[in-house]
Amino acid sequence: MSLLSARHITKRYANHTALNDVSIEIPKGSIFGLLGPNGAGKTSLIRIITQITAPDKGEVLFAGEKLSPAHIKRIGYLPEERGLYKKMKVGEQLQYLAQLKGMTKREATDKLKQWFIKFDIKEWWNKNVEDLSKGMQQKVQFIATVLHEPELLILDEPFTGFDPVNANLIKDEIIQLKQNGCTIIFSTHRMESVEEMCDYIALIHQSQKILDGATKQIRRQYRTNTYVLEGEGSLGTLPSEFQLLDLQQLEENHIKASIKISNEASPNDLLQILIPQIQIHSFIENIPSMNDIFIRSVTGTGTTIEPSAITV
Amino acid sequence: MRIISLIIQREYLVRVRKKSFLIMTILGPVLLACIYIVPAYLMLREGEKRTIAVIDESGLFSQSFENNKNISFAPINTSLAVAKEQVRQDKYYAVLYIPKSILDKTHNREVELFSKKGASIEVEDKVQETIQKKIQDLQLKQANIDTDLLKQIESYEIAVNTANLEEEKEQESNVIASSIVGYISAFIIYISIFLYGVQVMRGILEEKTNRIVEVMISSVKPFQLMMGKIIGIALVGLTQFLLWLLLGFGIIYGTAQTLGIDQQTMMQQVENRQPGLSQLKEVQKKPGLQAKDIYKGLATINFTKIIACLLFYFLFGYLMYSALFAAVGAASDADTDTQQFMFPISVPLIFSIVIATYIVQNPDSSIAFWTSIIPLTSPIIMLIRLPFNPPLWEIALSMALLIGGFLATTWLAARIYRVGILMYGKKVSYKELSKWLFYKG
Repeated sequence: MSLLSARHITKRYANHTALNDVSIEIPKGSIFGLLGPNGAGKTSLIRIITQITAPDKGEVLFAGEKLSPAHIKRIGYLPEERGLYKKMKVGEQLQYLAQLKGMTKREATDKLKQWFIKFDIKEWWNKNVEDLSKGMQQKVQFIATVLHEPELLILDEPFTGFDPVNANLIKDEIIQLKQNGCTIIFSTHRMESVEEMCDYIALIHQSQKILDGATKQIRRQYRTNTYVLEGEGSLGTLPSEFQLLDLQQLEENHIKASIKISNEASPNDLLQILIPQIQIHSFIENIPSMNDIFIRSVTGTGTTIEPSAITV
Repeated sequence: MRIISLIIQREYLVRVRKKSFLIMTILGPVLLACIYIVPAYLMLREGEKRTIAVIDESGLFSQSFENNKNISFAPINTSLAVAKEQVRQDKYYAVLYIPKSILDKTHNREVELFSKKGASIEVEDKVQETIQKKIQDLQLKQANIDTDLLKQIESYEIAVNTANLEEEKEQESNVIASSIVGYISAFIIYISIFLYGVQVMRGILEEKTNRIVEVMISSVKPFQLMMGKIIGIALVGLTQFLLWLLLGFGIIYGTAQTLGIDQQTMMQQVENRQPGLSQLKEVQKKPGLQAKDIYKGLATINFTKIIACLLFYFLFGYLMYSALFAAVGAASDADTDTQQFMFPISVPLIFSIVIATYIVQNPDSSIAFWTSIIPLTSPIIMLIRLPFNPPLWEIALSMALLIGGFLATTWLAARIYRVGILMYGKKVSYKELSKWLFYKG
């Protein structure tokens, strides 16, 4: 069942169309990747979901109901452009933001105490936000986003600005939230940063949705039956079912070859041919990355750039 | 409603808790009190007693000099040279030399005052006044004019009692008192609209540059955020006013008590210190119209009405303008960007204060009428006209239109605001602003 469905959303600004008949379905309890380059229309779509702006055409349903201000407190939003009141104390600020989301001051304070212990930042409570480092502010902002325990969490470019340690901390939190039943939308132009976490994705390009579905299915759909082989020895002529795409001679008789298998054969057939000739070190299916899929679906070409390493 | 009151609370507390608010609240009345108290104190304190030696060759003035608290005169018979030496040795503050020729019409009428460092203006004035008066008396006597009769003639005063026929009761009004009250209340409005309007603009700009605004409007409506800020700052303004009034009166009367300055001297000080009332000063110079008459005039003014109107016009004038200031803040990216939009907002305010002098002189002219009806100028102009008792229907119309003006600017500002706060790094033109008005939600 979809927690959120956006249907035929169109949004126009004075000079351009930000969204052109975009529909997405976000299943409950999933992590949904909203992917696309900068300026594709991701933020416009998010602003419609968070009711910051209204669509010119189309409708949004939240848990089956037409989206309304009553849903605001069930949504948490971490915008790409982050910010806090600089001259306000951390604790007070978080209480304030939580109260705006409909929590009482007492509830907010209790929940906040738990978070402060969890992140080990108890001594920040009475500090002014401007005295915190950028990374610390990001943590505070994250708490502000999830404190009211939203059913839908929208994270716009979530990992920019975090150092690797904190990025991992946040990643763990997100997975935890998902396990607790929270539905999460990731919006990013850096597709590689989230693709392994997403259950579903939608690709947005030039105001239009060009692809969406379960990540695994899309991957399967876009696989090219190409395998990358590394080993020692020399490669003889291959039968016609196998097409050698690329062959690199590495040092000391090592080779790296990329081979496409036609539909009549299987990877095992190929291995049987290769084993007598070569000492195999690795044999990997070249699975296209989201980035590759994106480029292929935009340009229609089949070139793969960097293979994403998944061992078969 | 709960959301708006939360926002108002934050905006109010953040500002009231600031050190600068505390400093301004305390310093404001202290400075104000200083302006009034220090001169009064200086004038009244037991200054050093100054003795002025008088060498009177004419022999006419021995009885004319009257000693006062600070200055006393001592007739001496030594030569001028000896007296000068004594001044050098600080025996006397100064020596006044009155030559015989003072009565001679063919000579210049001159006396000489020698002092070590230059005589104070007070001493100089006192000497000049005394001698001039004595000589005038002598000449009147020579011409056989009775000085007592002349004094009596001079003391005739014609009092012009102006009465306003349009009020049901023929209320006595005093033009000068009305001008003062009108001016002061108009100026208070002018200053506070700017002061607090700019705070609204700054606050919005801060939210924009801090990038918190997107977090905020994912929880609250832009209109709530804008109104919360405007109302919060209005309350800050009212709080500051109230504290200033309390503290100011406290300090003035407290200090006055301890220094033993009586109220009348204070009033005179206040009187002397009204800036910019040029026509008022002229009137003051005329004999017969003294400060006490102005205070008598003040008593005839209906202060309940004026204070009620002051509050009304402050509140709605501020609300109307701060909505515009809010729009400016939302449409700009940095302080420097605000200039181009500030200009058209400031023009009606500055215009009102510029024509204030004219309005005081012609409170019933058609310019006064129209500018006190049109919302952008009415908060200032109507307050100038108010002590002159304009017809009730004009006040009612002006108030109704001001509320209308407030609703109109708020509508306008809200539409610019909701688009503007999400626009970063773009210089906005007026043409673009007008397009924002018609964007959908």
